[in-house]
Amino acid sequence: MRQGAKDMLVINNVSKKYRNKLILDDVSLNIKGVFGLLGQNGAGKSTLLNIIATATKFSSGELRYKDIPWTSVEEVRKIIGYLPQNFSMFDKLTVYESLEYFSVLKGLRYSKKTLEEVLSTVNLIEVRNKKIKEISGGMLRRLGIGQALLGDPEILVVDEPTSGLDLQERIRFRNLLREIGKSKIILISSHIVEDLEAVCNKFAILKKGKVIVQGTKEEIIRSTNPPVWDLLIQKVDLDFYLKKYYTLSIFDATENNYKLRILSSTPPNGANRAVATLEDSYIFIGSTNRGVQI
Amino acid sequence: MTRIFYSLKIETKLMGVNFYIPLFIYLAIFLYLLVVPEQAILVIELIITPLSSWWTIWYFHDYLCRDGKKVLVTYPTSHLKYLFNHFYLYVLLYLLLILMLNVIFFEPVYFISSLIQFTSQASFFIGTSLFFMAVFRSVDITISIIVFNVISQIIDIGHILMLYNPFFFNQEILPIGEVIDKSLNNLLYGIVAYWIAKFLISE
Repeated sequence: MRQGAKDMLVINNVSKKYRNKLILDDVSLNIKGVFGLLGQNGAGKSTLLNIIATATKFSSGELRYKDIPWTSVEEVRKIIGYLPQNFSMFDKLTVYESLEYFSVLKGLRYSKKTLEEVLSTVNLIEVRNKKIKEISGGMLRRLGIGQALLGDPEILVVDEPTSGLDLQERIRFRNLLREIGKSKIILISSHIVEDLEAVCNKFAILKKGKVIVQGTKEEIIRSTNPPVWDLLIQKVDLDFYLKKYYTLSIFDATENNYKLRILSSTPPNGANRAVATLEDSYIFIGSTNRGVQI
Repeated sequence: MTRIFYSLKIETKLMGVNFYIPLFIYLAIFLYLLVVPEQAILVIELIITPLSSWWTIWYFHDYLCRDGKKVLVTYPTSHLKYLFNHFYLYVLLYLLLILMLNVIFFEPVYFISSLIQFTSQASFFIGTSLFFMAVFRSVDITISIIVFNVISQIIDIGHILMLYNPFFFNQEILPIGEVIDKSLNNLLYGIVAYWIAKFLISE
């Protein structure tokens, strides 16, 4: 199913309180295409995803997709596919059997063909007869996407899909989400900027339950304008610079020099302004108010 | 109907060897009692009825001890209703196994009394084992508590430890009037434990 302009997941002023603590604070987002949620641990990403997936209730605000409000939980559950951060079940079943069992639990009418189509989509057709306990972590995550895709949901909610995966599996997973994202709304949370950048067309950065900034990569970089600098230093001075500046990366430039990438509100002597990235914006937002000298 | 059989097949597969363990023990005891039938009451009471907790524990193991619940709560159908409806089939099957031992080893005149005694005890163990699984989400802890309870009751015949004693330790079948009170208690404890567990699991 191709999505039209009005097929947008609208989140309006959503808040979540838990034991008198505000976990989400007045979150508003318009989600279309493949949307990335960035934020450090405890920023409220998983809570927001749980709310969208109907696993958690929200305290106030409104969510809707087309004409379906999130107060109609049963209706919402028909259009949502969800993969939580930790997913592991049915160890003793084969990949195919577990997908079949998920279909039963989801109350779906299914056929061998539909299950095989899902397995093909998530590239697990080759291991369909392997037991869950015998497959890799990456395959298990892909099976998680497979169960989320059962019933052809219009919105896919994926929490930290690449955490703990090796690079090869991360790339495979990104490609998979990119492919699925052509026909569905996907909301992905992660703290690995690179993974989201590779898949998402819009992003939001959460901090302490609030949306700090949202938009395309370019819009976020422009609005946050992170003060990033390139600086060539003598190798012997490295300790000094590491203590003085928030250093994002160090490159071995020459035999005697390092090239540092520094986040600093005041330009270091001899530094050149660097082209900022989404990761810089993310780090900049995350590091302010954390006692870090920038 | 086909779907029920399919689901039972899958759930049995999920329990793995743990589905067959009570059946093997049951068969071994059955053969033993054919040789030594005079020990039937004690053996059924002290081994067969506590063994009813085994299927309960392993049936809920995958759901309670793995990271799958978060996915299932977002499904459009009630997975809990599904889960418990199928669980009742295992309970029913176990009670039928107990019924079979009653039919084979006890005279018809004592049949009702022994059936009340053993099914209420099995209900007690099913309910309490589900309760401990819901609380601790651990097979090891739940089995340890059940085994500890049974062994402690056998050692002190329920006199020293303050744990609830579901056993009668009778050598002969008792009249209904003598088993009914404790059996009702066993049943009540089992049902209360079951409902608390169901509440905890659905939270």
